[in-house]
Amino acid sequence: MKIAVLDDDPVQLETISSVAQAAGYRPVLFSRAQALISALRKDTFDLLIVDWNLPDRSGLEVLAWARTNLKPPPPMLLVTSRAEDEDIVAGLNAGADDYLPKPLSPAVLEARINALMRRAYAQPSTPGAEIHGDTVFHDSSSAVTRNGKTVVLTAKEYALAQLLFRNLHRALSRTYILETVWGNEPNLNSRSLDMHISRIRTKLELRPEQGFRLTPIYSYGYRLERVSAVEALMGDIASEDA
Amino acid sequence: MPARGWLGAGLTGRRALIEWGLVAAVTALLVGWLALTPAADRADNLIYDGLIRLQDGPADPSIVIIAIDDRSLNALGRWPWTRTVHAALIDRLTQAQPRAVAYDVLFTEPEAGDAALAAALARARDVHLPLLVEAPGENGAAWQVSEPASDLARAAASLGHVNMIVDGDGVIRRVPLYMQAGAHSWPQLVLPLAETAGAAPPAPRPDTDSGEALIAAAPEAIAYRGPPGRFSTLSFVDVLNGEVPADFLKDRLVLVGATAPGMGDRYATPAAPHGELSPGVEIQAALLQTLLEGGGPRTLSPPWVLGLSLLPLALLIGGFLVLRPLANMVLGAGLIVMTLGLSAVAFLSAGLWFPPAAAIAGLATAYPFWSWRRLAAASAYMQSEVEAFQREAAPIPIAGLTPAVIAPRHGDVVAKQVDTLRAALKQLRDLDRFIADALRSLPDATVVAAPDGRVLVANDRARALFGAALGPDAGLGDLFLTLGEPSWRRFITDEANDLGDILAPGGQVLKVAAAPLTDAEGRPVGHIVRFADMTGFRVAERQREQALQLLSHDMRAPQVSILTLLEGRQDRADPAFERRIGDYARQTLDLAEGYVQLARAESQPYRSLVLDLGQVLMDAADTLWPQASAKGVTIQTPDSEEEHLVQGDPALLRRLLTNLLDNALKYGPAGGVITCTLEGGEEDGRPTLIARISDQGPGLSEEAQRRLFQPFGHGDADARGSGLGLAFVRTVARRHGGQVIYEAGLVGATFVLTLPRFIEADAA
Repeated sequence: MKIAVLDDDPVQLETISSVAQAAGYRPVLFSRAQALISALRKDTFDLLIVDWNLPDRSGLEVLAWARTNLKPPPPMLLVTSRAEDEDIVAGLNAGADDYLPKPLSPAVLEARINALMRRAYAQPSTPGAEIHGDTVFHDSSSAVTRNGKTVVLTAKEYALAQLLFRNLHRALSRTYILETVWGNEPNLNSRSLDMHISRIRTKLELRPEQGFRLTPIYSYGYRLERVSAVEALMGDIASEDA
Repeated sequence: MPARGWLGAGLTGRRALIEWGLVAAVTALLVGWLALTPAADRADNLIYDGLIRLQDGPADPSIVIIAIDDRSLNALGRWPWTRTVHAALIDRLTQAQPRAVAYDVLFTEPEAGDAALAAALARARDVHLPLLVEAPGENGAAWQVSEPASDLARAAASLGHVNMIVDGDGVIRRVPLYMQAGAHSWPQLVLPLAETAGAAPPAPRPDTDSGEALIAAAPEAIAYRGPPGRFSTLSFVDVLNGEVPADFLKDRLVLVGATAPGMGDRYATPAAPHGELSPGVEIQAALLQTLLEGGGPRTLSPPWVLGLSLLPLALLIGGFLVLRPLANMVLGAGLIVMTLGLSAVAFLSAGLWFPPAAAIAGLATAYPFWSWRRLAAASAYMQSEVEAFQREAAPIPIAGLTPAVIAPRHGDVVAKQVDTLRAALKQLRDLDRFIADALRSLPDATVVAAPDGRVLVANDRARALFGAALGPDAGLGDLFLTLGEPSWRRFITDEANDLGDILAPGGQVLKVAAAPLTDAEGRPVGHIVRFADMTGFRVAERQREQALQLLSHDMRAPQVSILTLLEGRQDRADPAFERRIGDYARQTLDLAEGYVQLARAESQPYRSLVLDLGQVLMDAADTLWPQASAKGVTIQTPDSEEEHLVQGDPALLRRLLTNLLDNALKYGPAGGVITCTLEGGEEDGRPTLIARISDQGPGLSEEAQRRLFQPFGHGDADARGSGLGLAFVRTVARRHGGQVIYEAGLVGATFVLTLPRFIEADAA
């Protein structure tokens, strides 16, 4: 699988490249937006990793160009040192499939790349039982088995949990979740989604202590992450802070 | 009130109508009183007498007076003469064959020559004698009659009364044709004479209603034809001596009576020159001529008098409502002249007497009375308006603006009102000046325009901004064109005033705000448009944005690269050294981020969503879980099904709680517990949510507590960090209508966040 990486900082470029290689992908590196666009005209890439701030053009423009000109567009990951909430939403709304603030954590980056790849090029899963690591979804009974414990969910909760697990490490917009789980159901209270999220978080114990974190993304949506992938780095930082 | 042509005094207002009704009622009552009571008789008599004098004419030649004059007295001796003298005269008259004789001499006391006189009367057959009717009578009787001696009475052709009606001014204008008392009725002396010519009016029905009282019935107004002395007059003595040609008296109506001044029986009449008295016999002669001519002037009946008196008044009062004051005056004068003229014409041509004094008095009173009430009404109106103006001249208290400098005067009401008005006008001028000055010195370019966009007023800054475009006939369209805006109306109709800035060709950034102007009734009368120069503000805003941009990205990028470099190194020569470099880089990142977050929290608009604070608290705890688990710290979040709803910005509230938890994590001991609780509360009657975050650290010194929440003033002297985190907490809490306080406990430190609780009904 070929990944195009665009960043004007050689240090960052090098880090992303090494993470991608270690994960078994083939990274192609660009330091100017125009160069990437030229390459996209001639070549096919399975994933784009784009920095926001570039000397010649904005990374958002590259995302928009790819959305418009590539059919179908490859999954795109936006990386930037902008950390503000509005920036995250602006990047996601500009067409990025996910977003990662710098400094990049190699573990998180790898998880996100894998998530995007799995989502875009996944094999159809076998019907009946669906297995995500130690979590098993039983379609027939709307039950989920986690850590040996089986929890029965309502139909909506089950659909919501399944959607989150299928898109592990991927930011899902509220609109996407609502359309997928609720369809075009009218009179849907805007609080309904928050309340369902709150319930499955409690029922399935989606807390960092149990290995999962359910993170709200400012005015955009939610993301479910497996903590084991990130805790090493963050915990390391925290311990160094202390 | 401006005059609107001849018509249109433009009476307006209830007060004026009330005054009008008052004037109409009072003058109508006055006219009615004058018309129906004798109150105006003296004035009416003056006019009547003047009209009588205008009726000058020849005496009736068929009437002859035989006068008992001074010459006769000189010749025949002192009065009273013996009855034989009278008998002799009557015999003379009998020979002369007059048609009838009225002998206006009273023979009420019996005398020696009565027999001779009775014989003479019997021979004459058509001599009429007077009797005396008096009221009151003797011995308490209502009236008494003194007739001539019985044989005389029998011999006379008839007996007639000679009573006259003496008006209040002593003038004889009318004579009753009959005197009546109960069933008794006595005709006037000369009535039989008129009857001989067929000119006597029918006798009135006896008035039994009045009981036994003596009343003068059928009063006949005497149409005097000039002053006394016009009738053919013979001296008694001449007739007695036969010095009068025998056929002179033939077929004539002869009246015998006293004319000598010394004999009394003289009265004032309208026709007599001033001060001159008329003998009674002359009045009888005038009455006779009046009867022969078909009767004297007839007075209109009271209902007619009342009606005709009220009619001109009604015209004038009606005119008050629609005419200008001058026209009213002309109308009043015209109506007076017309009333007099019509009265005279009716009198002279138709013999109808309409007493005009009541009508004229009404007309003459109404105008000044109306003028007075009108002025009073106008004055009261002005007074009340001035007072209302001073009391409620809204938004600027003008009384305070210009204290009344004129000391109140005692005395004349008009002088006081003039003072009040002068004070009000001064205040108005001052207010005018004040507003003009205020507008002129407004800090922004401001124009006031009519609804069609025509510029009415512009202040100095507007002139400086627009220059020549702000000419005498400039419109808002011209002004906006100079700013490069083709449409001005969308700025005027933009109620929210959020159309953004205009970049003027001169480089200024202008923000346009418009407000509609309305008059006291709420009708639109124009717009007030402000062009605020935002240039400096926008430049500062841009610089601030650039600074934040620098901090949020440009400064971060190298720090991020440092951390990435350190992360990527495989062979760590000096791990401790590298860790310190990493720490400093992360610290710089935290500082920049804290600063940017605080700046955003202070200035940016907040989103307002309903959210569960328990979930937000859980999110914050999850965010910090890596750090907590690395330090062996447990964050206990409340585990309950209950929702704790607040309304606010989810990202800011999460960061607020994250900052508080981060603080507890930093200062609490390793392996400790951070306890978070959520509970409902109440403040000033409003429900609140109270979140407590407690650590088991050493707490804060008093000095540190004072400097808490101040940016760059962190509580702990040897602690790292800038205090930006807690400043952020306080800012966000306040902007959500809540607060955060520090609570020192037995162990550790507790931060208490209070937010207004969201109640479901609020959303409806």
